[in-house]
Formats: sequence, structure tokens, C-alpha cells
Amino acid sequence: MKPFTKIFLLLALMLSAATGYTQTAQDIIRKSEEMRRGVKSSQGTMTMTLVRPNYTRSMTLKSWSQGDDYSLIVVTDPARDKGSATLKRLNEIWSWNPRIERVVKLPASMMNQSWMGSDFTNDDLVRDVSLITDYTQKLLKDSTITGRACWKLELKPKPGVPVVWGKLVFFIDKKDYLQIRAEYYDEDNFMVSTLQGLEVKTLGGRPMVSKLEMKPTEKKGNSTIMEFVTMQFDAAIPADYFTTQYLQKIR
Amino acid sequence: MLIQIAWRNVWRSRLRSGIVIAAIAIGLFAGLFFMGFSWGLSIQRVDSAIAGEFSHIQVHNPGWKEDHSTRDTVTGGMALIREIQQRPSVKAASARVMNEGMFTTARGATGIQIHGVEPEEEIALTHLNETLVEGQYLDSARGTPILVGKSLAEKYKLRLRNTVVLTFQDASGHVTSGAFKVSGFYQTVNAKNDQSKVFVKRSDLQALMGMDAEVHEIAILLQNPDSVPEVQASLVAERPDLKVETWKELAPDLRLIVDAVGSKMMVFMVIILLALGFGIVNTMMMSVLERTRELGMLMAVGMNKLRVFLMIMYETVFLTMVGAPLGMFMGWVAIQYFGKKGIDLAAFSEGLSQYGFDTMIYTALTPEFYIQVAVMVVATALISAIFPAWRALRLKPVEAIHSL
Amino acid sequence: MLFKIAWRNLWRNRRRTLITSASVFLAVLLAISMRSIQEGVFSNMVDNMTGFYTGYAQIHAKGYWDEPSLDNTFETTPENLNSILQTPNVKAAVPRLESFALVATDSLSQGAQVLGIDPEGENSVTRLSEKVTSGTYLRDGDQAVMIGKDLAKKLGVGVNDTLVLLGQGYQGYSAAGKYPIQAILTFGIEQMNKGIVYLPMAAAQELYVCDGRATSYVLSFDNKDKYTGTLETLKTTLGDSFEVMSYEELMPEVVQFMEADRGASVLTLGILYLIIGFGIFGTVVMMTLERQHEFGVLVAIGMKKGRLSLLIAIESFLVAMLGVVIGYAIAFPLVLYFQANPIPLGEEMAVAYATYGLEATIPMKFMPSIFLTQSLIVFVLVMTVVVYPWWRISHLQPVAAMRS
Repeated sequence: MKPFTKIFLLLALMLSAATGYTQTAQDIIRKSEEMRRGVKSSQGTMTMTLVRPNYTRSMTLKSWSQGDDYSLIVVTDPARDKGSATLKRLNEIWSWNPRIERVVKLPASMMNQSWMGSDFTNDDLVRDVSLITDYTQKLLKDSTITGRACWKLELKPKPGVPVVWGKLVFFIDKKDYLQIRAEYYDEDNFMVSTLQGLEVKTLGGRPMVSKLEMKPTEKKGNSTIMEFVTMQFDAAIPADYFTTQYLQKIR
Repeated sequence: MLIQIAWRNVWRSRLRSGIVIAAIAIGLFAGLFFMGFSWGLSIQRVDSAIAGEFSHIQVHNPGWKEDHSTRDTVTGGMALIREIQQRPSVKAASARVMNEGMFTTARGATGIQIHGVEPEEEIALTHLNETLVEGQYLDSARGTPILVGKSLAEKYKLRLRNTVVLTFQDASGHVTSGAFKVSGFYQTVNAKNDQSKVFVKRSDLQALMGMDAEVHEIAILLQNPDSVPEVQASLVAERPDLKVETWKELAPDLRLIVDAVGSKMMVFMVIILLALGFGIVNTMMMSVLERTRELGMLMAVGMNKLRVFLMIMYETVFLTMVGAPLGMFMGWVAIQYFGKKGIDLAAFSEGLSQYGFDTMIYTALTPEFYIQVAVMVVATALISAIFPAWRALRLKPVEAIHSL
Repeated sequence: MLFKIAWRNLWRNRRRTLITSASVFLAVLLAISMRSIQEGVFSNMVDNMTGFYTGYAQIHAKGYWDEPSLDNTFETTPENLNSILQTPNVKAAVPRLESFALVATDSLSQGAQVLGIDPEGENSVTRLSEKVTSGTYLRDGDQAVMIGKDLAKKLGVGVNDTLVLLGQGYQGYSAAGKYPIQAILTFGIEQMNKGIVYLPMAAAQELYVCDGRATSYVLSFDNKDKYTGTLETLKTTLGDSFEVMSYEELMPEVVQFMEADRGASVLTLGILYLIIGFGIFGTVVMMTLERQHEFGVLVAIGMKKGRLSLLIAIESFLVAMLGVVIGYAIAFPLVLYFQANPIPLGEEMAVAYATYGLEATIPMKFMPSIFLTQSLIVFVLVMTVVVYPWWRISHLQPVAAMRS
């Protein structure tokens, strides 16, 4: 029996390799999610630019993250906000501000507030919904976005999943499985906001969307642009980085 | 003898008597109707607050009042509510699970108060189903239902059967979220409150919060409002660990409304009575003037002044005895009629209807008030008669006969 | 000619004239008192409501009310302040900087509304200093806060404890500050006790990175009754970059409640007219009866019935005038007196009202327009009632009348 099992296994492997050519929508999403966060840890620097009808403002941030559950972001510029830090632990957010020298845990009712004045809310940082298991995925026809050949996928939340969207439409780059563009629709099929990749670069040895823009459809002239400047992956980060004690020490 | 003369006098001059009777009747009618209206208005405000918001009695964990922490539960609340519902003095009761958290839609999020209720209980207690303006009342047919205020729905462009996500702390302090399907929109008088309050099914919220036999609030409506202190006392005796409050303690401002309406009502009533009194004084004065010759004659043939005075007072008593029941009856009919049909305040105030405010006022009056008003009006009539009667005494018989 | 006869008739029977004009005088007095009380209570209510928080009117940057964010603030320049203050009827314009923040101690936190205020100016609009129940009122330039009592209780803090404010400033800068509590405030409104923090304007501007900016000017007026015109003028002078809103737009739900009261007051007034009208009617009927004989004589000696009717109309007109003049003479000082010394509502009510920061009184309000309209209405009532003697005259049988 043993040889047979081996042959059978081999066959199965070959088959799966063959179906790789016509992989399912779920496979694509899974791979792209692995590309995006399939690292044990990351650290880097980035700039965040708030675009508003009357002004544009930039800040520089340093970040550390470990898996999906822990991350730490600290402002390095402008001087006024230098040292302000946000710690995410599982689904809690803690905030530190050097001027008041106090660590504050954000209560549930504050989660709808904008994070650092951007178009992201605190809640966007902690909302933990899996694109793979909480949605059903469907392949739409291929399309080309900013010169890159992409799969176009439609994701619909499964019943009972705590998600407000009617559907999401993702454009995933065929070469590197990068999420080039994401569109968020409400249940009346109205596109509420978009997340658009503006640049792809290799950072820390991995190809990634290095610059992306979040744009709410109904707020004319508002958007938030994130640009990753340096990135380092899978370097060991001490576990105590993601504690409220450390939050008070980082600069 | 004197009474007979007075009685005959009353009927000799039908027109004059008719005017005084009508003055008393209309005065009484107007007084009653005014009281009925004001009383109806204040009862309606209090009742709607009791029915929609406070109920007669509320039971909480004493800690709940302090900081609304979800940990301060009524232990054994589910058993307690069943026991309370069995009591004959209780008309309806509802046990609620409450929380504060975030309400997220595709177009943004806001802080919200979440009320977890048992749909049937709330129908009986607060008629929550009647505030529904669109959709279904907590209908579980399609997923976990949520009732959203119309104004909140408009703010976030929500439609029926849209999904919203509620995020809040569960019983052990962890943040959790749940998806809810908008089953209906409700609307109350207070649009601002509607924006900060949503209703979900108690069982759904309990499941998400990891609670089972516990609730945060029990609201009780009694068959008879008078038994509030009694029921309160028995609940306190049974569960000394809980805080049992009546609507008067829960909403001191409501009592204020009642008192304010009462005192304004009294001031206006005084004005109305003054107007009535002077109307009667004037009419009786004129009547004495008109009867100068007649009264002079009576005095000339030997009727003494006291008897003339008494005669006029008797006449007034007779007129009042006819006018007062007539006025009471008219008032009663009007109060009954408008108690059923209602008075639409929008007719008097153009601004009102545009707010979708409940503009119908149903008149109502308790028997004590009928008696009170009747006593006041009759007293006013009699006091008003003294002055003209006293005037009549000052007539000089000879001059009186010769006048005109 | 007729006028002269009418004049002489009035003086010939002074008693009758006095009685009739007394009924008119009383009607005028009571109608004016009633309306003055209604308006007094009404504007008292508006004063109270606007005094809580909003003021009579506010000026914001365009779009602030729809989206109250710090990005919708405006610069407080001497120019725009001057152009507001130079508008006739504007008494004061007090700047505010309003936003939201997380208020935290070492272990507890709570969201709250934060108001940067000019302590002295704010006091003139909302009498904020009277709400201080412990500690001392803020002074300009203080780096300290005053908070609502329930918020203090929830956070477990008192005067001299330190609070942290955490939020978002202008253009998304982070807003964070540490302040000692200088005073605890007690309001009549629960939401304010639960969630409000005041700090001096300069400190708020620094906290929110809003140098020289404000979210609103709160206005007060010299003459509150003429504010609509003033707001129109302001709208034109300030132009498109500002929005000017009256308290009616700022608090529609309160206005809705007051409109209901206005509706009720119209009904009350109707009831009063009914009684007043009937009082006058009774007096006139009696007068007509009394003068049957005289009318009969006049017609018999050849006076045309038309001229007689005209004579009566002129007499009634003069009597009504007399009544109105006396009514004015008494109502004028009366209303002025009760405007300055409102009718108190009793001790118990006073205590209850005081917890809401209100005075338990029923004030009158002096308004020339009330005097004019009410006397006109009474005048119309009198002239309508004159129809009765006309009708009697037209059916007059001279012989029978003379015999009566």
C-alpha cells in the first residue's frame, strides 16, 4: 500500500500545480494577503499626508508590527506632535502623548474618531475581519490598473460577519499578487471609498505597494496618502515593544 | 314668601334672567373646558413620558446609576422579570440589557446607546412598535434585527435591510462586535434622542455580551398608578440589593411640568373668574338699574331693605341653580367630545405641524375638578350679586318711582 | 349734532355709562394681562432655554453647523468682531471654540464636549459663574478647566485634581493637555452635567492648535424682540463665508415645545374672549332693556330708527373709548409692575425650579403691540354686540315700548 500512497500524493501535488494556472478567487486573495502580511514582523518609516480642501499636511511616522495583533506607531515629525504614539494590542488601542505624559486607552465610543486626523478611524486599525474566511470571493474579468495586469475580484461578506460593506472589489496584480486597488461599496452598490496604490517598489527585499491613497467618495477634496520610505521585514522585535510601558519610552 | 317672589321675578323677565343664566353657564363651561384642556395637555405630556420613557417603576443595580458600567447588572433579572409579570398589579414589565458603544455604517460611525429588549415586552410596555415609521418591528426573519432612529438613518443614508455593526465591551470587558440588519426605522418626538439610541433583541445582545440570566434594567407599568408606592415597597423588601425608583424620582423635571402647568392654569383661571364675576356684576347692576321703578315700588309698599337685598340674592341663587348645571353639562359634553376627537393645536400655531410634533390635545378632567370649578363659579356668581343687591338698598323709594 | 346728543346722553346717566364702560375696561385689562403673562412666560422660557447653552443667536463659519469640525472654524479678527458689534441692536458677541475630547484620569476616561470660552463674556450670555458649585470661576488666561458635576463623579475627581484632555486639533494636529480642575459646575440639564468641560479661550486655542480661531460667536441683543431683523443685517454684512443662526434654528426641538404652548395660549385667549364678550353683551342687553321706554319716546316724537341706531353706535363707541382709556390707565402700571416683580409660584416650586437654574415666577411682559391689538379686539367685540340694540330698535313698536 505504501508506494500507492506515495504515487497518490504525487498525483495530488501535480494536480494542484496544474490547477495553479486556473486558481480560484480565494487562492488569489489568500496569496495576496500572504504577500501583504505574510511576515512575522516588520518595521519601517513612512510619511502620511492629509489632503483637505483648504490645506495639505504631512507627518513622518515610525512603525513596528508583529503579525496582525500588535503594532506600534510613533510620530517623528512635525515637532509639535513628535513622540505621540499609538499602540495596538489585539483589539485595543492605547495612546501616548509626551505633552501630557499619560497613556490613555481609547474607549469603544472613541473608536469612530479619526486616527491622527486622517481618513482612517481608530476602528480601521483594529477591525479584524479576514478577507479569506469572512467573505465569499468571485473572479470578475481581468483588467489593467495603472499599467499593471490585474485580476478583478468581488468579495461579499458572509451573513452575520460584522462588516458594513455590501461588497468589496479588489484589483490584484498578477505578477506579485499586490493589492493595487480596493473599492468599498455599501449595500446599495454605491462606492463609498477607494484605496488606490500609487507606486510599487521593492522595500526590504519585497515588492510592495509603497504609496497608497485613501479617498472617501463623498468628501470632495479629502484624501490620505501613505508612503513607505524604508521597510525591514522579519527582524526580531523585542516583545516588550508592544506594551504600554514601552509606549512611554519611545522617541 | 320672599322665595316665591324671587322665583316669580326670575321668570317674569325672561330675557334678563336668560342673560344672567347664560353668563353663568358660559362661564362655567369655559372654565371647565379650559381646565379640561390644560389638564389634558399636562397629563398627555406626563403620560407620554411615562409610557415612552420612564414607566412607573424602574429597577437597577445601585451601581448602574453611578457610572452605567455594564458590570452592574440586576442579578437573576430574567427570573425576577417573570415573577414581576405574574403580579396582578402589574400591567406590563420589560427587562432590558443596555450598553454603550459604536454604531458603524458604510458611511461612518458614531457613538450610540444600545437597548437590548424583548420585542413583545416592549409592545406591551412602551408601545415601541408604534414608533415605527418604516419597515418591520425587530423582525428576526433576516438575521439579527436592529431598530434605528429615522434621523440617524438619514444621517448615514441607511436603508432597510442594510447591515450595521455595533462595537462594544462585553461582560468581561473585551471589545466585541456584531452585525445587525436594519429591520425598521423609528421616530419619536425627540429627534436628537433618536440619533443616539438603537434597539436590538435582548437575546442577541445578551449572547454577544456573554450574559445569560442578567439584565441591566427592569421597567414596570402598573394597572393603577396609585399603587406605585406599594409595589415599590414590596420590591424593595424582596430585593434590598437593588435600587427601585418611581417615575417621580427618575424624572423630577416631569413633576415640574405638572406643577408649572398647574400654576399657570390657576393664574389664568383667576383671570377667567374675574372676567366672569365682572360680567355678572355688570349684568346684575344693569338689571337693578332697569328695575329701579319696580324695586322703588316694593320699598314704597313697605318691603324693608333687608328683604329687598335677600330677594335679589335669592334671585341670583335661582339663576345660578339653573345656569350652573347647564354650564356643567355643556362643559362635560365638550370635554367628552374633545376627549375623544382631540383638539388640533396645529390650527392655532402654523409652526407646529412642520416638526411632525404630536399636535392633538385630548381634553380630560377628573370629577374633583368639576366640583372645584363649580364651587368657584357659583361662589363668584353669588359674590358678584352682593354688590348690585347692596346698590339696590341705596335706592330712595320716591326718587326711584319717579325716575323715568 | 348726533354726536352732541350722544355725549349728553352719556353724562345724563352716568351710572349706566360707568357700568358699561367698566365692562369694556375690564375686558381690556384682562385681555392685556392675559396676553402679557403669556408673552412674559414665553420669553422667560426662551431666556432660560437660550441661557443654558446656545444664546439667542450664533455666528459660525459657513458649513460648521452641518459639520462641526475644527476645520470649519474662522479667524477672530478685530474687523469681523467690529462689524458684528457695530450692527445696531447687537449688545455683545462672545467667541467660543467648541470641540470634542477624551477626558481622562490615570485610570478612567470619558468623551466630553470641550468649550473654550471668554470667561467674562460667556458669563454675560449664559451666567455661567452662577453654575459653579465648588471651586472658583475661570479667569482669562488661566490654564485650568471647569467640568460638569456628573463627569467629575464618573471620573472620580474634584477641585484641584488634574485632568488630561486628548483629542484632535485644527488640521489634524494632535491635541493634548493637562489641566487642574478649578471648578465643578451644576447645570439644570443632565447632558451638560455629564459631558462638558470649559477652559479659557487662550488655553483652548493652544490645545487645539487653533491660534486666533473660534467655532462661533454667541450673540446677545439690546432688544431681544427685534433679533430677526438684526440677524438679517448681519447676514448681509458678513457675507457668504459665515452662517448666522437664531436659537430657533439652533434648538428646533425646544421651539417645537414652545410652539405647542403658544397653540394652547391661543385657545385660552379664545375662552377669555368668550367670557368677556358675553359680559359686554349682557351689559348692553340690560342697557337696551332699560332704555326701551326712552327709545319708544324718541321714535314716537319722530326720530328716524336709522338715526337712533347711529346714536346708539356713537354712544357705544364713546363708552368703549372710555373703557379702553381707563383700561390702559390701569393696565399700563400693572403690567410694568409685574414685569419688574413677577408673580411668585410658592416656595416648593421655587426649590424645584432652582435645581434647574430657573426662577419659579410668572412674569408679565410689556409690549405696546399687545395693548394695541387687545384693545382693538375688545373694540370689535363691543361694536359687534351693538348689533343687539340695533335689532331691538328695528323691531321697536313705539307705543308698546313706552308702556314697558
